[in-house]
Amino acid sequence: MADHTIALAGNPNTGKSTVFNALTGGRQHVGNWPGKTVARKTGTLDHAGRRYAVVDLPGTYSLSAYSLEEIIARQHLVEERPDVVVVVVDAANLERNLYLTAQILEMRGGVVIALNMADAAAAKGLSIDVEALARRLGAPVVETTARSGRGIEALKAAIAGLVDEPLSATAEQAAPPATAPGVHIDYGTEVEAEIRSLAQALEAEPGLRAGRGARWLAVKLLEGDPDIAARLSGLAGGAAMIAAAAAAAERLRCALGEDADTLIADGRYTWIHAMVREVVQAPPIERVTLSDRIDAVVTHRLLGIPVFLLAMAAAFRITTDVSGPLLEWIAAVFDGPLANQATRLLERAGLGGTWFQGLVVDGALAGVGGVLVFVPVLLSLYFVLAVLEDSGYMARAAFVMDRLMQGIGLHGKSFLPMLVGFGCTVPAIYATRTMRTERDRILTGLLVPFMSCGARLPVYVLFAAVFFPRHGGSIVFAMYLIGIGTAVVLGALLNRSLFRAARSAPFVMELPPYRMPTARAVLAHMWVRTSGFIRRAGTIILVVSVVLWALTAIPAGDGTFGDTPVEDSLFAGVAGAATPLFAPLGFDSWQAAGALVTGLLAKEVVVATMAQVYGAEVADEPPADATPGLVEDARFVVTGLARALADTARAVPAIVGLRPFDGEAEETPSALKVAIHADFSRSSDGHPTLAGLAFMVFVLLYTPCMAAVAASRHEFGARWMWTSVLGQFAVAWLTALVVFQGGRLLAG
Amino acid sequence: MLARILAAIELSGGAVDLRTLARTLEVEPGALEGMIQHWVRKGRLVARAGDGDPDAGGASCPSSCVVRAACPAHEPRRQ
Repeated sequence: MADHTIALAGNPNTGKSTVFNALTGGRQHVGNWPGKTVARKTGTLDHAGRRYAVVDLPGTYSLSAYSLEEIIARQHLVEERPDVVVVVVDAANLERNLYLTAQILEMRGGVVIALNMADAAAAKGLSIDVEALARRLGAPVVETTARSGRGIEALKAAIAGLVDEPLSATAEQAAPPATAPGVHIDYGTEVEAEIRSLAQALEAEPGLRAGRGARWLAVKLLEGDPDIAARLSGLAGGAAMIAAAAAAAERLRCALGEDADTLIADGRYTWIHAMVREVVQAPPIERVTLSDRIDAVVTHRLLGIPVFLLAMAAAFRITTDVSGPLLEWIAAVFDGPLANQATRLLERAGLGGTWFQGLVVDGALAGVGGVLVFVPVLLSLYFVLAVLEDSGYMARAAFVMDRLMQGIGLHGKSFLPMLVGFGCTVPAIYATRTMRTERDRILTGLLVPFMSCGARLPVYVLFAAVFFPRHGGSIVFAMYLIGIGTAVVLGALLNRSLFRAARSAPFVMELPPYRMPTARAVLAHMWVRTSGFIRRAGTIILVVSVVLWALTAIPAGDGTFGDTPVEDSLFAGVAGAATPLFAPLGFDSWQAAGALVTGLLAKEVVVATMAQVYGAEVADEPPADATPGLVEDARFVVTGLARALADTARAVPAIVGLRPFDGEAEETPSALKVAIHADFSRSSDGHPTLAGLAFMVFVLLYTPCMAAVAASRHEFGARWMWTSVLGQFAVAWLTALVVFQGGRLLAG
Repeated sequence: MLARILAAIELSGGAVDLRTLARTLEVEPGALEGMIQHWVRKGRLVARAGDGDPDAGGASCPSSCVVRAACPAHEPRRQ
């Protein structure tokens, strides 16, 4: 049987449990608070011939009734009336920790302050005048570092000193000392007058007070404390007292323009702030950390955005340029050695030249290759994202860009996926993972495909060469601007309709400290995210590839499966059926429609399809040689990889400079240009340039490739994937319609 | 003090770092978090879940808060 009881109170993460362990040693019992799921730790302390029962209260920031932990802690202090309350305070965060301390001291005496983590405070250069603090608080203060046991004996002595005082023996006496407040905070003339009035009324109602201090109860009633109100409402005179408190609070609100609980909280904070300024000495010159120095530039109002743009440009370049050689290598391996060896194997199995060979080589293998070529891009992107996130920069980027992006209802972090979208939509959609809210992720995911990906560039270059031979560069650049403009307008519209949210400009954000990313964490990020893409997108694109191949292999009329000219295939028939849809846009040939359909598989395919269906040959296609042998193919793979790695290494220094449109456009066969011009002239009723421009705009804005669609489904679900697919198609169609028909009207 | 905090956030007109705000107001960052939490409970600041430290698993206020749009300095009393 314990002689006395001790309660340990404190904020979370103040080392309260360590103090509890230091006081009780191994004599502990862990259970639950009666009727609650919150853990209750109890133990015993033997000191100077006395036995104390020690209860570890839940960690709380205040004694208000906002959380279960706060209610439990308060009920224990009010109803169980421990002889001594030890308030464990983090010395390095004194100002915040003293709020709970002040509330406890307002409630009762018999309190000792354990000024814990004194070593951490000293490390921060803080010097605390312990004696002055004890005087101001009206309670003993003991410096402790519970982790090392420092100050624990002094704390025990302070506890014993309090129980030696004849304070807690007479709980129900007129002025029980444990309920006599340790401090009296002055809340200002008006508030104090109301507190006094209520306290006087409560003094006359011992049944309502039930041993609680009248002033404390008056303050709680003024604060509108729901727990206290519930307890008093069932007692005689309780309802009248609650009504009187509500009337007092209303008078204060009218007089001071603020709720009573805010006035009281403000009084406590002001009292604490003044005390901390008196007893705590910070270093004479504020310590400016390395993080502060970096942030002075990185989050600067003017410098922050250029720094962010540079960081994002580097991310963009790494994602596209550095991974480019490896991407090309994988594509070449699939097109060359893997296709060769698959063909060889099928020939040996007697299936050479059959439709099955077409299915395996042109369908399945090309489909899988179409997915795997994105892997270097994704790995590069996730490497950059992991480094930016783990270093703490991403929070700064959001901080800097938030204001700009809010114009279209987006978060600052949306800028990165947008930028990555200029390289490839697939990693850009996955990059939306850096945003934490579903709303921001989905809205960004819907807008990202409007950023013109690199795969669309060959289409622009080809059509600019056909229809705008003297202004090709400007037209291509205009495509990028149209994509950005569409995203901005659509974002603003969606933000005011489907994605309406209560957002406003000012916000406070806690920036995490900078830290060095670890190789293990970065690699884990890269693998987890990339493997998900391979698994999910790979299956979908494989199926679509096979289906599309089948459509080109099936004859529309007479013919042999797998050996049918593309213009006689079911594909041409299906594409032909879609031509009325494109007639108002100025291009209603099955060739153009077919190119757009295959563009759903990959945007790079648009030009290749046109080259095939217009009966022209692309100049840089390799000549058909005899199938290389296994050794030759293996040599090709190894030397290709070495060359790709060397090119990748060479690309790294180039990241510091941007080289948009640096002449990567392929030489376009003149026959193809002539054929396209002739076809668009026919289909546009003599406005080929407008039709060409409408086609470019359509390619820019319409449904992204299947890999991007798969990524969209993976990230946002089927509903948003279809919204994106159909929505983009509608936007593309309407914009192209405006370009073509509007242009015709203007041209007269 | 509490009114100063709210006014400073409203006047910032954009993103403001907790530590910078704490330094400006000469308040410990931890205490400032507590004060911000008070305004969140009062509905005058709104916790914007999901920002802040990426490792916080979608930290809620006080790691990041926004001032509620169209919130008057002295909002009507809630019943």
